[in-house]
Amino acid sequence: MAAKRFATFSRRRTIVAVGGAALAPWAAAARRPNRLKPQPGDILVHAFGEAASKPIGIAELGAEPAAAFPMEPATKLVRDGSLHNQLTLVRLPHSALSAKAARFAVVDGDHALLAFSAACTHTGCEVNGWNAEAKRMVCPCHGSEFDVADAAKVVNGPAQKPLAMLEVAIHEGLFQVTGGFSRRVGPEPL
Amino acid sequence: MRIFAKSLLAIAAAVTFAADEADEYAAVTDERLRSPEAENWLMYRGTYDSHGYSALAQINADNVADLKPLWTFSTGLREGHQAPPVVNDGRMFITTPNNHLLALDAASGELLWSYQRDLPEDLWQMHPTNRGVGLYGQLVFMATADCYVVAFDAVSGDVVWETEIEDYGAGYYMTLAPLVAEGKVLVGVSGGEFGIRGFVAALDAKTGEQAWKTYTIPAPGEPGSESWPGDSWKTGGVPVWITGAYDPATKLTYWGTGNGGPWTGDTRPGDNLYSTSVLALDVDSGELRGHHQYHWNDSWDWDEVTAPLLIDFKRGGETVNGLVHPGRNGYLWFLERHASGSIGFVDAKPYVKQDVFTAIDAQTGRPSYDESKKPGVGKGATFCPSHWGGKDWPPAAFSPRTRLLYVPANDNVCGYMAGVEEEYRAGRMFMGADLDTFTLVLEEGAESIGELQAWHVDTFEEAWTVPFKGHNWGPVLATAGDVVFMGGTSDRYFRAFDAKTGAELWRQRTNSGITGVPSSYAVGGKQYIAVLSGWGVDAERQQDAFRELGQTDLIVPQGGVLWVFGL
Repeated sequence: MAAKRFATFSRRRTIVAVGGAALAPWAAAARRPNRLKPQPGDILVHAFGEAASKPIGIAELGAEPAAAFPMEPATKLVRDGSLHNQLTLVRLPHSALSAKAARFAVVDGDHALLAFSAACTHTGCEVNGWNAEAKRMVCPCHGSEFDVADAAKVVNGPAQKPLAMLEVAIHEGLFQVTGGFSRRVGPEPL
Repeated sequence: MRIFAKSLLAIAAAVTFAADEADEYAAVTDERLRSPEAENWLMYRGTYDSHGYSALAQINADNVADLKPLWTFSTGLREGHQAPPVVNDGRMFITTPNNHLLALDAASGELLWSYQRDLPEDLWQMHPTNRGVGLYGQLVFMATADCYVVAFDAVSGDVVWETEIEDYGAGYYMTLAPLVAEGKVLVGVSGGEFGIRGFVAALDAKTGEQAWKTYTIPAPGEPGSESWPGDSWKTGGVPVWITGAYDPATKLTYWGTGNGGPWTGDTRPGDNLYSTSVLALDVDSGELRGHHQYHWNDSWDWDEVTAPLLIDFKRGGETVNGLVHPGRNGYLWFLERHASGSIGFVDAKPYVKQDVFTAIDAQTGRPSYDESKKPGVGKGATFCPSHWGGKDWPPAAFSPRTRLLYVPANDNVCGYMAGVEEEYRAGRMFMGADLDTFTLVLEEGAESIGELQAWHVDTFEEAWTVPFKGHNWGPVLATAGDVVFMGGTSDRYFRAFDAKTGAELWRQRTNSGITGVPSSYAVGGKQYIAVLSGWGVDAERQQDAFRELGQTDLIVPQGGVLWVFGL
């Protein structure tokens, strides 16, 4: 059964490719295009609240993290259909970063900007808590805490693996996706 | 080369033909579902009335001490293994977390075929479990975590059809065993903690096409809609977790419903129909023909998810066509089911410590509340029983021989909860509960928590109770051998009790804790008892909560194993 589902999916992609269509028409034809993972070139936008779907300027990011989704710039399609696309943007002094975190950081003066997956690696809850003092992301479900300066290493709780980080760059004052995630997003399968 | 290929084909054809003959399958008919043979366990609770009772008596109170494990089968998966082994004519079907489906020879334990659901990687399973299959004709049905119903050929394991019920991305999922009745496959959706709008849906068993869909929350203008303010009905939860019961005489099917969302009732002032209720639905049309709401405007996560047991009990010398429900709210409810679908209140009383209800209206059964025990947004409250209730989803059983109802209960456990503001976001947690301050509160001096209670349905008196030191999440099986089987405790035992006295007659320690629904069946004249051992989900979470309180340091290992016992 697994093979059958995969074959169907492949075929759909192939037909569109033959037609010479770019990503956008394919995405429009897909049943739930907003579930497609972050793609290189995507711009990061506010995930929630009054500014939802508006691009996040790097100057906006302060001491509090911001929740973001990728947006396909040509079509303005916000990929908000999956927690696995949700990112937490964090701004830290560059000197605080571990070597691993520095590899995924975008330098902004003496600060660094990082984009973490919001999907907990324990059971997959939305990691939306923030310990401002210790600079830790906190999962509300089972209390796992992730040290953002050390590439979201687990420092407390039942999670075993760090949160994934996404490769981003600064483009015209906005966050642009440039690559993939550092590791599996969310938990291992049961 | 060509000749070789041809002869291979010929051999394959011959083998297939032989297999077809050997694999003759006893088709599951409406008649068989209405009156299953004692040797078969064709549905979640064995029979439409949800009794969880086997008419087999070869294993009985006199010889159960000699019960032995005959064979086991590892599922290779962690988390909550809760499905009953469903058996038709020597073929057993079990399901596991992550929607694996295994078909086994029910006597030998040989694996006949298996299926592993290809679940989406971004599916977050808040309740990683599945509660088994439904059967009809030569088909086997499983409801899935990504909210599909899949139909399999019982012999080959081939997928015959699959139907998407709702969008898992919006928080809908399923863990229940489908109910099969009158040619339809009935399922309900979970997701109350994600701001869904609950419903029961029926599919044509042969094609998978949707026959009807009845929401558990009325839309504006429909009766009951006035009990939901503003747009709260759109995201009000009221999920359907557990397989319904069915009364073929009236063609009415009875389903339990979950609580409203977010969890604290002040976010949705009103009764919030048809939350925490039992619904009577017309099996052919899905029409809502009656309901009884156990408690209004829930604020305690007291999902009333289990379907009531259809029991005809005596009151004042009269026989009442009844519905019996040990509620998560800590009261044991006796109701009257009418052929029209309307449901009347008979009586109710607490079976565990309950400090929220101050009175029950004698006519309607509507409870009054001690408002100080009701959490709200920014208002913490301690209440009994805890949000896991006097009894959570594990089903009670009834023996028509003893007239006793066997209830897997948790007593002496209260909870503290406070509400927080929560903005609705599709597919995200929408519970509005402050998880940082949530805690359990144990009754001072209490020596036990878990219990197996036996209540006489005609006298409404407690016949006996077996206490356990820790909590109990054990589904119950009663048999005509006057034995009651149950696991459920964190010491990993599967136990047999005397159905009349509650005396423990036998026990077997297993690989993990048991929250599986036990079943009984016979092949070739030999009776078997079967149960899945595999601790997880809420049984484990409550264990963690007790650990945080310093009440236990016991670790219950995970990993699913099917155990099959016989004399």
